[in-house]
Amino acid sequence: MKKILFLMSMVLAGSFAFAQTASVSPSAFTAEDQITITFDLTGQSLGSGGEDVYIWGFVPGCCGSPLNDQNGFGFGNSNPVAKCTRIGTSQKFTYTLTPTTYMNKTAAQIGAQFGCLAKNQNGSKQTADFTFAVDPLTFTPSVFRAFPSKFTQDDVVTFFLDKKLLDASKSALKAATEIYAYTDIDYVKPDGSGGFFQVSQYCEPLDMGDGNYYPGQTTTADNVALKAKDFGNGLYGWTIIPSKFFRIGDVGPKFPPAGSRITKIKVHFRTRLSPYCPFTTGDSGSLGDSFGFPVSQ
Amino acid sequence: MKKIITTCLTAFIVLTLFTVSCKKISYSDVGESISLQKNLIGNWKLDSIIQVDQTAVDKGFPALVQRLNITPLFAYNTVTVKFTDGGNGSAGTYAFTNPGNAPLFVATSGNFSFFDNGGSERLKLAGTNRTDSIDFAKAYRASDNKLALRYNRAFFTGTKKVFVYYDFNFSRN
Repeated sequence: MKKILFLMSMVLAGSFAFAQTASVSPSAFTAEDQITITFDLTGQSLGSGGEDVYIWGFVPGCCGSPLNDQNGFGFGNSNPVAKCTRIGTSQKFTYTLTPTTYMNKTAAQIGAQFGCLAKNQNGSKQTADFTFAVDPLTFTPSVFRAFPSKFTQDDVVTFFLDKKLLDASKSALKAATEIYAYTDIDYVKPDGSGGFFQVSQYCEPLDMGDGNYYPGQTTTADNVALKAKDFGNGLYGWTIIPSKFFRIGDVGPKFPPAGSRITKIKVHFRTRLSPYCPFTTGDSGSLGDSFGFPVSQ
Repeated sequence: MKKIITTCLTAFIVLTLFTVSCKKISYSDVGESISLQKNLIGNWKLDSIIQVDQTAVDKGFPALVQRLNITPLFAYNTVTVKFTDGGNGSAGTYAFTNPGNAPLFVATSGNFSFFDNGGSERLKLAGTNRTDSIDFAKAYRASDNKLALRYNRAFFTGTKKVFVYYDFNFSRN
């Protein structure tokens, strides 16, 4: 009985004295953040005597990292790219990865947990499984946003204004039932030179001398193509196909020539009458903030 | 006494196994087979078009910012398309009618053909000036009288990465 107790206490003591641990830095992370995992194998057989240590990563309940067993590698023959870095001469090892890249999965597919273990090259020694909580990516509602978040100049794109989130100082815009966009683009011509193109508003003059060209307006009137649609609940959206709306390749003195690529669309929501309009009082404080969206090529 | 209990228990187990193993399992009917090629042929009316932000889907963002029904934003309610079999069932011609000039992303008429993308069947739509590859968003049976096509917009940086797609949902016209 004495011997049994002695043996048990030795095993327990050993376990606590040389427990294998893993930590992650930063401790709170999303699937798109770069993290460094540190395996502390102090006192363990694994990693002693200069032995190399490899990571074996997985998403619990889903699948392993493609790096685990690509190109004929596997648990019995670790992939060299999974090799951890030893810290000095210690028995601590680190591995840096970004979960979405390392797992070749989206954040939604990875979900709430990332798991891994440390092992030697032929898999004869390994640690227990370690799991780390993965924070969800959070969507932050904003006054202005584009849908979709990435688009080309040939896609349907809707620019949204959420009046509920507008600053209180934009009182006229908050109260408006008719919302218009004020917009222009930066673009690159086929010869590599840059260009700028603006679309006329309610009252903008046809001024050819200022470097801009305001097509479509010959008299003072609403440019209904700039009117945003009421999506309800304070949400207004203005939908276009950029290449068509900004008339790329159309015949005209200042239209972007055929083959031009839009690099940025600037959208600025306002009330129907802008304070910039000559001969009108406009609505002071009616303008929304200007914002620009990069266009994917 | 022990022997009797053992014998009874064994008999019970054997009888139970016999009864259960002999029970006829009834499966529901397999039903009509699915043929994307056969189902495609005919006249179709566009019911809806849904734009999906794949980036928002990948990030697990709220449904509100993942997809948008753009059907009412353009004159999609007048769009129809006709696929005509070229003879072998896997190629032929197609023609859209689009009086409201709603954005379709593909040539309005031309030739269609099926091709295997190393996985699911895809559709090639070849017009005079452009050729596009289209996915089947859903596999319907002919009797469903529905057709769902998907147009993908993707980056090609080594591998194809879809960042936005459009689901065209048709019903037989």
